[in-house]
Amino acid sequence: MDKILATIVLSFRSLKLHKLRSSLTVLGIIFGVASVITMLAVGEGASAAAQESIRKLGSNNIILDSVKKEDTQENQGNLLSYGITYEDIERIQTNVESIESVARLRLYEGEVRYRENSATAEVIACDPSYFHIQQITLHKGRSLCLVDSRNRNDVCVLDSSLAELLFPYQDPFAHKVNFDGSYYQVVGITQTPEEAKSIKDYKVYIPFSSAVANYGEVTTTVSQGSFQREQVDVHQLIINLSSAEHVYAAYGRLERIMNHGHKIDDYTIKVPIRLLEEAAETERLFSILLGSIAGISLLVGGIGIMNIMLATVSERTKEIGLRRAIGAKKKDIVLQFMTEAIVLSLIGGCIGVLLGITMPYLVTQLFEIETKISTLSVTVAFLISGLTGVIFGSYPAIKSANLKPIDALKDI
Amino acid sequence: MIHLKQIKKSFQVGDQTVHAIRNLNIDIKQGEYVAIMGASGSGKSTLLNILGCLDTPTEGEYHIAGDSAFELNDDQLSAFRGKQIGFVFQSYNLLPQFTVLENIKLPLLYQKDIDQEASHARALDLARLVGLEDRLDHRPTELSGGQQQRVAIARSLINEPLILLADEPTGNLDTKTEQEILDLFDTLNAQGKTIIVVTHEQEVGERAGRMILMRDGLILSDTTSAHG
Repeated sequence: MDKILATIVLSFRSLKLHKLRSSLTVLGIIFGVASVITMLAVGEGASAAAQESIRKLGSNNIILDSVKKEDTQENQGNLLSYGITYEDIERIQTNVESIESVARLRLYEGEVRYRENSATAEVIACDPSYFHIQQITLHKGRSLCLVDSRNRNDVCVLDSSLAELLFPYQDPFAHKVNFDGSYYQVVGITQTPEEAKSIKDYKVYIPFSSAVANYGEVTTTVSQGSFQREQVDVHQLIINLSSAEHVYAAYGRLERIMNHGHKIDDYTIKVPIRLLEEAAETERLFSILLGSIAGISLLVGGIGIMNIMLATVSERTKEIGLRRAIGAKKKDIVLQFMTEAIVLSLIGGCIGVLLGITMPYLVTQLFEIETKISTLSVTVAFLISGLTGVIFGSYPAIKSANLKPIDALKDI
Repeated sequence: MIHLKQIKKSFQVGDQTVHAIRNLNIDIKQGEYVAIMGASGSGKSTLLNILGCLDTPTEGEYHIAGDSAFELNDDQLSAFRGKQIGFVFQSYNLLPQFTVLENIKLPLLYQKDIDQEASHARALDLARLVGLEDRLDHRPTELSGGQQQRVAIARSLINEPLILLADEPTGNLDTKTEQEILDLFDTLNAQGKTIIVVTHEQEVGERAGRMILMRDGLILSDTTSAHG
């Protein structure tokens, strides 16, 4: 043990003799290790962000969206009718197995007002099940319930940032907010997630049935002097299945049902779990790509070490000869040069790890890209740097040990 | 103590076989001070390498302190050199990254089971013996040639070897320093150390008690002087 420690200390001394050369060699490893950690952190961060947004959609869910197509036919009186219909939903509910619940959505956007305070918000008309399916957490009050649905109550749930904006001083629960001519009693306030606060993405939830009652089945928009009337029963339908394993079977059924009822593709089917799997696959490929780019820089660093060690060996042939003359065995010489190579690469590894931990932080600060440093990548990068020393140090070390003592001593 | 019998050494240089040592028989007793002399190409350096177990002859027997040197493998030879032979080279061969004291102690690195305190004390004694006790923390580059050679001598003695082998030890030194080094050899020999010096300088050879003159791989003369 003492001997190993002594060898390490002595190798430090030898490396110190050529400070510039040693530091340039170390530089290769530093960048190699740092780039491995940084690249993987960027890759990991990107996929973590993607996976998080997909996970929010829910892995048990299948989401249907109504889509307006260019070739959607207008029938009588400029009425444009497309998308998911009530009949579709009925057929889905009777024919698809393992459905836990469904949530119908109509999406509006417009000005939500309380007295002089107003904001542009997304108004989501939904079934009460939506709150459960999307795991929306309530900050205060209650969520929409079946009674609201049945009685078409004009009630609403606001997200907390909108509630703060509309009711800076008042108690929201004592008041009603106005949207498109109807007044809705505030019954609940949701918890706005931290990351959503800055985006000013205001949301209001009202019962689906109330929206139908208040705004009818047909929406009329005026554009370029002509009326355009649209009829969309449901903008979005979220089907919540009892477990993720039923998703693919349900998806197959769903495709057949929708295909049967629609001549054109005026809807899309989103399967979050499939997206999640695709994202995981993409992430894997991405990590392999980034990892191999970084691996190449480590390889280059390793070749740098070998190059320097070879130069060192030929420069120190006399030292090798002397050491052999005063009693060093071949394995002592191998050990000495290996230790030097490993010490070099581990110094590079240590600095590289420090740099590799700092870089993702800077990337996040400068480019606002989410990064995630994994302990695994740090460990692996560090171990690889050590391994680089072993691999690329061994050839010069063995070469030096195989020198004949007299030949080594003759060398000037 | 040293017993060389019918030593032959030849090299292959291109198509030609060069006989560096043709047929050599030498016996050296403990405590002897021997100078091996000859012009370059006389085979004296080859002989030194064989004596120092750095090289093996093509033929012959070499017994040193009862061991047959040619029956040892590479590792055993290393161990043997480390323990029994102290080398002093013409160009000192000190390691620039280490201090004087560290250079003196370098051979200890390859010895097993060393008493750290005792060997440290011995290193200090040797530094005192060669007159460098106040230069222990200096680097070799900060020393004169003579001083560097003294460090090398101290280093060669740290493991208390049977023989001290010196290859042109004063070749790089001026006359005054040469005398100092040779005085040091005299002192060591007086203390009972067996010393073998290879040189082509007459004055250096004459300091030894026994002079072996070589030419063309053969011993030309082997004379023991009166005072030796």
